[in-house]
Amino acid sequence: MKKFYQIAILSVLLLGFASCEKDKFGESIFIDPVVDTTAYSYPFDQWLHKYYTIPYNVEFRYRLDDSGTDPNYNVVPVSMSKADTIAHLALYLWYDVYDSVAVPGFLHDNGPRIIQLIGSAMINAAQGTEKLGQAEGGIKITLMKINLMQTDNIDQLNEYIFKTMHHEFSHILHQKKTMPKEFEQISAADYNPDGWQYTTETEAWQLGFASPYGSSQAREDFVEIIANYIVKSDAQIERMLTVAGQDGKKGRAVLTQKIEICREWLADRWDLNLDELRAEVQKRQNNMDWDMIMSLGFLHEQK
Amino acid sequence: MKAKYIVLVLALASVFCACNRDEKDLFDDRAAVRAQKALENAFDVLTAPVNGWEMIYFANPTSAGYNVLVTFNKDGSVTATAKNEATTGNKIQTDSSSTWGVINDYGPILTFDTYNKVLHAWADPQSDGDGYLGDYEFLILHAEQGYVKLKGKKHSAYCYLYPLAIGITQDQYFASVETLNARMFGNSNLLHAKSGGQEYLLYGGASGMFIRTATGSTPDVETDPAFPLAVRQNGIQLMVPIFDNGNTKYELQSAELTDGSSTIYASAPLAYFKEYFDLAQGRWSVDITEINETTMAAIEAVNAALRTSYPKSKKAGILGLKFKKMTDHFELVLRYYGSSSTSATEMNYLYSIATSGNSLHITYNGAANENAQKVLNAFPDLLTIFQSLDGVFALTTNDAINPSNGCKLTNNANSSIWFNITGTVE
Repeated sequence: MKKFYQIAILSVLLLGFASCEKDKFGESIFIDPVVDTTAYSYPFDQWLHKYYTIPYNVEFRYRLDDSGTDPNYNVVPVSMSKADTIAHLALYLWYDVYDSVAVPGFLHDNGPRIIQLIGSAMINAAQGTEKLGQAEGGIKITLMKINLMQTDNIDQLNEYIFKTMHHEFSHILHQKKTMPKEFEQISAADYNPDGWQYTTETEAWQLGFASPYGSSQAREDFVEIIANYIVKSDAQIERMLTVAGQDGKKGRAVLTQKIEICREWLADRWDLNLDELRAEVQKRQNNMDWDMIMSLGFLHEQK
Repeated sequence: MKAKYIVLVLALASVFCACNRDEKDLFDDRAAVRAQKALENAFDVLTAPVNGWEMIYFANPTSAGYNVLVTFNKDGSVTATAKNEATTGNKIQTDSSSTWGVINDYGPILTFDTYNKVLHAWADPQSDGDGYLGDYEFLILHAEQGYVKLKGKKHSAYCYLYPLAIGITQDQYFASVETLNARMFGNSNLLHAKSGGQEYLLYGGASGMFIRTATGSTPDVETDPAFPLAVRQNGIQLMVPIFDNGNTKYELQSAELTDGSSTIYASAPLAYFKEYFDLAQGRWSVDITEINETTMAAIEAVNAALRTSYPKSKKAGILGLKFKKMTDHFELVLRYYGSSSTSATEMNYLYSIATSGNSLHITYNGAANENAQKVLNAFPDLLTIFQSLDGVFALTTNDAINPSNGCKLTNNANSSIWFNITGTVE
């Protein structure tokens, strides 16, 4: 009896495998992408491919897919002319700087895989704040408010664009290799995650933060120290430290200590000399030859 | 033994069922292929019109509609032109430096994926994070030669595209839209809508939003439903239908707007005259520059008398005559410059106005107060003016879709006594 059932089951299985027809596959439904050399954006796309994708393994996204943004915010895309300008500036003031200062291939290996541009800020009207950039998972940096960029105002460019790039890239670095624990302890009692936006710049400096946003939490504090130190001029740094130490406030000492920790961390963990990086950025910021900066690209003119 | 056979039958049945692969396909093609075809169709439709598209853009379901001329080029560039008070300062503005595309998201999506100062004006969050709460990405609900319907991806407003007729320039387009807009909605025109057994009063169209209330009801802007609209060259586009018939496009044919089964119209002149007081809180101004000879002579006589009485006043003279409705009667407001050249004086005179059959019965009932009587005593030719407006009149209109643009009153007993009136809302 038992044997009968075994034979029956085996027979069923064999019949099942043998008798069912296999699907016949038709032609592939996937269409091989074809580069359209007549496309309006082709020259710019080719330029980005040559100067970003090939050397740095970066996808420089200027065309906005709204599904890739936070649905809680209303945003608009960047204009093509602004995208072109920022792409050139980013090469000059960021990528080429790291190529000059860091070990070969540093940005290729550690830089973001995606740079996304957004034309407007991401505004939280209820809190009175706006996002200028964000870094996600060590892979993507999003830069905002690009349409409002003033190319003749280096302080505005720094405040809204390049400090943000250094800020977001520093996030990527500490997401890959953790920031020093000792840094988090320095201002542990002074962080204000919900009310940082009401802190003035002077108040922030005197507490030992490079900016009001830096007073929100330790990781923002860390990257704000690095970013501000890189983009601010000697005079601006000295003014910050002077104000920070006025009337016996602890800010100067705290800021100095934090800068040193950042310096050591970048050197030890990334073989990156913060002061050399800063010097190169400052030299370029003080010599903004727009003809040279834009010479390898083009600008979309209004028709 | 019996158990063996049962097992064998079940086993054979399971084999046949397992191999039964006959399933009817619901679609002709696989989903990915159909999606790709939808994108290709949308691209072909959007790039086809020689003179581009007229796009009726609604930023969100509570927003008025805006007119945008859009040309989708096959190289992926797009040109957009608009003219409106909200985003272009009422000047024609064009931007042709941006890109567009059709992509696949949860359906075919039309995207304007680089910034265009015309198209993204409504989506820009500005300083409050919201701006006009408009979209720049749209679900393509329908795309065929001659008509495209979109739905804003984030804010869910419908937008409509129609090919712009060949030969129409942007200047001609916006001029014709403005002309029709002024004609249809000037002076706070009152309209009605009818479809089958449904009938409504529509008001507020000048703001880009019909407020709909039941005929015979008192309008309540707080609770009455609103229907966003935009004026086109030859009609209007609603964002959503007023009636259950689902139609949103109305064309002006003769004296009414129609979608083929329902109509939007103004009341006949006599009924309109009365409801304009009640429902639009309007007044009727008498045209004192083009009026019958008898009344004109009286007006000139009063003006001469005013100049004699106030020789230092450079502007002494009658400014206007306007009928307004009070609770239980009407008054004619006389407005004139007397001793002052900067501040006009107003005096009121009593009238009763009633409709009977096809006629308007207007009866002069004297000065409304002592001061008005004093003015009448000082300038007796005013009585001729007031009495010429007393009588039984036939009422005709110059524009059946908006009688407030102009009506003519002709005395039934003496056709040489006539005057023109236009509606005003203060």
